[in-house]
Amino acid sequence: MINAITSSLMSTDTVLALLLGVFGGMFMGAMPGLSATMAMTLFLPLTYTMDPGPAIMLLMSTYTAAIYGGSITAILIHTPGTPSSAATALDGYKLTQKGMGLQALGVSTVASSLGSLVGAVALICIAPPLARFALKFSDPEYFLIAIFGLTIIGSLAGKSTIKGLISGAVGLCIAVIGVDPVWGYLRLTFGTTFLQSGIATVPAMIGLFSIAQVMTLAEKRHLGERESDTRIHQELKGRMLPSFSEFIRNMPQMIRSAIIGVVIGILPGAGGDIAGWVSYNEGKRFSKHPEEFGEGCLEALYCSEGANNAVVGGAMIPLLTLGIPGSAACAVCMGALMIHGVNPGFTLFEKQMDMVWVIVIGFVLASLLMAIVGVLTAKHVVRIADLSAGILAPLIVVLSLIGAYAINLNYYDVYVMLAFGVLGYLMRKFEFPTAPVVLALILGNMAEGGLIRSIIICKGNLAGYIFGRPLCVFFIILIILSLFAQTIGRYLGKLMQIKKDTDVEIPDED
Amino acid sequence: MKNKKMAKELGVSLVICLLGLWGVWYINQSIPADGRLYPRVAFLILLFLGILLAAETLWKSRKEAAAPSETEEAPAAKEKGAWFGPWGMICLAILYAAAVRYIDDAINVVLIPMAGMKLTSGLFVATPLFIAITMLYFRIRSWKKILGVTVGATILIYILFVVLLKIYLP
Repeated sequence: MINAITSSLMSTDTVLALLLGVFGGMFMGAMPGLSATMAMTLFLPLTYTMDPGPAIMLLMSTYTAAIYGGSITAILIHTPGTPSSAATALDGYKLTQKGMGLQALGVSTVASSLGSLVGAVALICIAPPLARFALKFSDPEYFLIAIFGLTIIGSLAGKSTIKGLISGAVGLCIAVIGVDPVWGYLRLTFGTTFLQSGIATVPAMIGLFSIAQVMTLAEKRHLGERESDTRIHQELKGRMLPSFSEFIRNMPQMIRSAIIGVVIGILPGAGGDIAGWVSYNEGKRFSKHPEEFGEGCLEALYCSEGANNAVVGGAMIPLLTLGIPGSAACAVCMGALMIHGVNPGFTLFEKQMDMVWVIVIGFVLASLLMAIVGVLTAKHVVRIADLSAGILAPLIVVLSLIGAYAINLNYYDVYVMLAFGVLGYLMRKFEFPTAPVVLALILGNMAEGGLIRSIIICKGNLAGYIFGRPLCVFFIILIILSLFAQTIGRYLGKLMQIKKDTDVEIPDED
Repeated sequence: MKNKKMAKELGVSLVICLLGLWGVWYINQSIPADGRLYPRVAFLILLFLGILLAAETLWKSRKEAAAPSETEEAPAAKEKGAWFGPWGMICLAILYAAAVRYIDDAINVVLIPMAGMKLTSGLFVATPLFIAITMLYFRIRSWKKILGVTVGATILIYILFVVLLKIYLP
């Protein structure tokens, strides 16, 4: 196994994948309007001909570097490149105004890398025992896990729980298209042959995230919105990296924030933005100088950046162990895993443990490389935010078309991508989150297979069968709680108040 | 909640309900009884959630009517005419996708019988045109910029996907 891991990690493909992922992710994360998910979607076609190891590494390094990249523009021009960096913008930009922009970038780089490393450690510590525990799951449990994944992401992904759930239900209805996996009947194919194999997930994802974003960019351009101003009004000077004593002094804050990030990452639907705000709030509570938070405080950056990057490792845990992508970015990762024949779940840990190690070590390498690249290039990366939407939009469409076509060499997938682009745009217009649609497309088969097989096994007494299994009861309680997640969060979290108090323009989640 | 917004939300709820109803009806018509359960449940959930959305919209508007807000929302004056931007963009993307396919087919219809070879061609004819037109659509008027991005992007895509990654492109 060690030989397999070493040969996979030492290959030229892996090195190139890491470099491309870190640079590309950082640049795309720094561009307001392009999210980590979109960066991964655009890089997806590059992975088609790669081995699974480098392919996953490319996407993982893109994911983590994009979240870090978002903090650069958040700090220097008060425009978070991704929603995960919204909390960073609060203190980061004030530090820039005080002439401490470079120091803020240094703290962000160190905290992001350390957060990623904690995420990687959590992944390797938590995932194997969880995968072993998942062996106890049978059809009804998998059905309920799929429903829980959909309800929690539906509840948390948007402003309205009902709209989030509707998005999930739309995805479930679309996932029905094609051949019935149990009985073999054709469903919603309208006599066509291309719909018989169902809606391919990758073109649908590309459409929902990339084409919809291009339509949004076109709308903004025709609304006459001014492009971002990337001029930094203070000269960047001084020492970038924090001193060793400062680093050690802030270590407890960073570790606490990273643990918060991992825990929030494990929860489906709760992403880097929530982790950033919660850890900011907790950091303020534990700080010796809470009054400095919000006034341009380096300690605040250790908290928000440590947490939002740790989310990546946490989010990979349910994905690799249960096959449940907890976010849109993880759904893209799952799509890539499936393209390369890697099936998440216990079998991955039993039969392809070398792949798990490649993912974890690749993740650690990406974090370290991100720190080096960040220190060398961060202050120049901000210029990328000046790239015009008129240049970005056609390039996104071209890459999306290549991505949708090349996966199956099928033109229908291109039309599916365009149709989902329109659907995604309309959903954004009417404030429906798009991530639950993708999750439902992925989890639909799991939910259906689990439900139908449970019905067959229970011989007419489904309720008795399900309520007789303690794990099922536990998941039912989780599903009910998830439906009220927004209400619970509103009562529990002071973080919403912090959000209201800021004037940071937070980019769209997708 | 403003009347216009409420009407929009109710309209969306109605569309969702109709979609749910149509789905249930179509499933009943087109699938034998033993395979109906799951798809029917999926569409019934959609129908139920559509009704809930309508109810929530009405409840919110009633609540707001009872306690009118002092702060009036600024009218979205700029939005007039902006609808064209995204729809024009998607039309360009559809034309581009069609052009890639049909240019490729047309060139290879001639090439295959004459020279016995097939070329990856449609994408590399349609892409520069598409990039240039889209840049103009986004009101970029600098010909240097348009030419640079068009040529640079096409060459980069060729090197990356065809030469390095050996991915078959149309």
